[in-house]
Amino acid sequence: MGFGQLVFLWTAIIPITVLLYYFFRKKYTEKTITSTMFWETVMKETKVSPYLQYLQRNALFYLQMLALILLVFALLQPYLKSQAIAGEHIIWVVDTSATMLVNANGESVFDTHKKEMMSLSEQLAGKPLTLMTTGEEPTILLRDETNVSIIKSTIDKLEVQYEQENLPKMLDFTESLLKGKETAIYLFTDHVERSELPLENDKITWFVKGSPKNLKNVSILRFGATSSDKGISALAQLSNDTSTLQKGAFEIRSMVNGDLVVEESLEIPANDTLSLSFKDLPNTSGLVASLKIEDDYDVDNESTILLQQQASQTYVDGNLHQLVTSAFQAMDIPVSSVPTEQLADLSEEAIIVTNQTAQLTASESPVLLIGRNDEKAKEVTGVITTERDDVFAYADMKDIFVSSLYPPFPNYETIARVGDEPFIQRSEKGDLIILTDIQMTDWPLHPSFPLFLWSTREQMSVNSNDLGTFSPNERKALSLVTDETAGEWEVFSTNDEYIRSFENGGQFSAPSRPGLYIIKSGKTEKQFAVALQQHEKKIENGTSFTIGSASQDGVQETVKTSLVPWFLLLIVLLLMIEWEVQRRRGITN
Amino acid sequence: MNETSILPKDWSTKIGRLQIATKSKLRGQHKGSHRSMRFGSSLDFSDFREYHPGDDVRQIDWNVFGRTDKYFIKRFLDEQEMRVHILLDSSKSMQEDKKWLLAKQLTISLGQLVLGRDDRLSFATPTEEKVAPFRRKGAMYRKAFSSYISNLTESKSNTLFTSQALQHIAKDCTVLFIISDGLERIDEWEKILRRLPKFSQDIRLILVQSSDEIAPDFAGDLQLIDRETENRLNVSVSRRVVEDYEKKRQQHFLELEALCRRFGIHTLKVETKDDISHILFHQMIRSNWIN
Repeated sequence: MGFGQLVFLWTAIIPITVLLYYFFRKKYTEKTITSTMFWETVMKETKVSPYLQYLQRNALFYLQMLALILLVFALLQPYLKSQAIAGEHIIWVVDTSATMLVNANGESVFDTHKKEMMSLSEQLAGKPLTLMTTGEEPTILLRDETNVSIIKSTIDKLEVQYEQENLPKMLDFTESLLKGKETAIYLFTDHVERSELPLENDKITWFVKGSPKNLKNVSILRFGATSSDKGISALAQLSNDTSTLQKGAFEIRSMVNGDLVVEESLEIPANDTLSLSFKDLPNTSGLVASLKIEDDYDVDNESTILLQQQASQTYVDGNLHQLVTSAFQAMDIPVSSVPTEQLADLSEEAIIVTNQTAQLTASESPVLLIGRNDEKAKEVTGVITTERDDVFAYADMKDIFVSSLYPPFPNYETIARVGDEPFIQRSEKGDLIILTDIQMTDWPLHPSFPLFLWSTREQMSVNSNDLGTFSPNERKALSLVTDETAGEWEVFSTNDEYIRSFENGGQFSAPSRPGLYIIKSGKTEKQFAVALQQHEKKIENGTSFTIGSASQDGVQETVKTSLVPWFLLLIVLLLMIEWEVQRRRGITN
Repeated sequence: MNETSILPKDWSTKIGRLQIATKSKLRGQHKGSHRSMRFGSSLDFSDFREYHPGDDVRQIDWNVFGRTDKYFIKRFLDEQEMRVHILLDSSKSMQEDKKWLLAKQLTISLGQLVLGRDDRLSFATPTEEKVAPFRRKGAMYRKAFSSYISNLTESKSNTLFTSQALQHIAKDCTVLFIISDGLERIDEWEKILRRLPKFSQDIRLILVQSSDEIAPDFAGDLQLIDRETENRLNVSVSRRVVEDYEKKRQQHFLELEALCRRFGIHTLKVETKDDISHILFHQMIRSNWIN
């Protein structure tokens, strides 16, 4: 035996109520008296009009009749017809990528989709809805929700996240939500190919709501700049995705004071790209390029670049102990081992890890010096103390044993000591010097060692005043130590609009909107930029289509809302009234 | 033997000096202790009348004849018996302990008054089984009557008293006592009261009421069961309901009394809370039922 609708188990309350009612009904204590003659007349005084009296006398009959008739109706299984979305379970996937901001017919595709969702939510007819948004991390906003007002307010709060939609990831995620029922998945996106959808499951019907066709887009496909002694040289690649020649203007402004650096009017041929290069631009910390062309997609018409580019390579001196290379590799940092003699020939944009003291002056690249090859080590004892510094953000140095130290550099800033002796120093240029050999300490055996190396590399590779460029909503652990007084980092936009705050570098996540941001903690201020991913600069003409079993029957289906529960409820109500009538009248008559 | 348990001690001596007072002239044929308006053989002189042939020669007053040479008959008032009938309502409504006791006490007391005066007493109560009605004359039957009443079996019949009463009334009685509780419909009462006057000139209805009926002290939800009809009635007792009940009850008895007045029937209401001696020595004497 099985039960079709276990949900209706709640109706068990009704018999229980009746049972309770039965238990707590009026109890009449019997009393024999000489005559009930007067009492009868007293009780009969309640009668009002003959009609009512008639009703009163026949109440039981009518109530029972009504209950039986209703029962007959209930057995006929009455229902109300209404139009509703097809499918038993409905999943809405909302693309929140930047390309959703494309303007079509006066409003963005995203807003159009929101409106459509609003009207669709009216037709849910009590079916459970799961609402999720795309992105690096697909988010479920609603799960099996049936409350229309909650659904509507959630739709209302939806916002574009600028992140790439990561469709495959989202599709995998959707698969996990399937319940084996007839499922309708609505994809509110701009463009998706039929081939991208997994169509193995025949219980799924895909409804793809794409963006309209014939969208015009001209974008800054790439914008790069390098600084040298002479000035900045910049390169821009502009792309015209339309089938007509586009005319417009291109300008580059300095990020510092907003000065116009370059202004150029241009013509881009249909379906082609145009490369522009500029040389000897005045030195500045960052550039903002913008394209003044009428098109349907504004977000990719502006691009920001921060000039201090990070050093990507790490070179480790072949003389150093193998543990150093292992520690870098443990943190997933690619390192190259280089013989000592070739260290001098390395390019500038690399971090050099060595024990050759000469490198400190010879190289312009940041140097991490572990030990000194020009001095002898002395034995030391003492507890290690550290200054408050970004490199120690994740590295706890307390339990480390150091047997001996090299003599310190006199003018360098000391950031860690063993007892009173300098242990780790920093040069004015930003080089770090660890005044001991790997063999003289048990530090490499502690987890703090690779973390220290990672922090060091982060700090050396990134200019201390800017954190680099992130993609929207990107999460990245940064080597940041908060100001002692503030205790947290706060992110502001260039318009001094507060975005969010976090307590340490590990919690950093970039804002969603592309642009330049400032991160503050006490008096420390750093910059970073959020830029669109390359994929989001291209607009593809979308289509709306439906694939799946339900597509033959159309988007909508007729839902029969059964009225049986209501009838049953009425019958129960009648039974209760009957009971009351019987109770008042007494069982005997 | 039962007499002692029902009535107070020395009751018969206490009530010995009382007799039923009545203005009713209807008398029995037998000699009794009550002066009759008829001429008879008592010692009370009435008048003289000329002798006509056919008169009893023994009644000629010879002294008058000596003086006047005319035959006169000296006549005396007759002494005749009173015929009293007691009808006891023995329906189940009467058989509530206190009411039944008081009713029996009253019956015995009245019966003893009658029998003590050498009058004729008849007693009847509507019963299912054919019990010979009590019909006796003379003081010697006082004890017998007491035990007869005391041993009266309780009726099991459900028929109404009013529908049976007429069959149990003796004709031509001087005084007719009806002991009932009056708890039957007023139209039923009218039917029987209308026909009563032809049985007797002096009809007295004694209404026995228990204090529970007068002022019910119930509370809560009760299922009231009628003793007689076994009707069940659910009543949630509230002050308003009790007030209504009292109103209804009073109205019923007022109507009953009005009915009795119309047919010249005397009524007397007695309550179970009162003592039998109070009823006899106060209520009945005051209303000139006995003296």
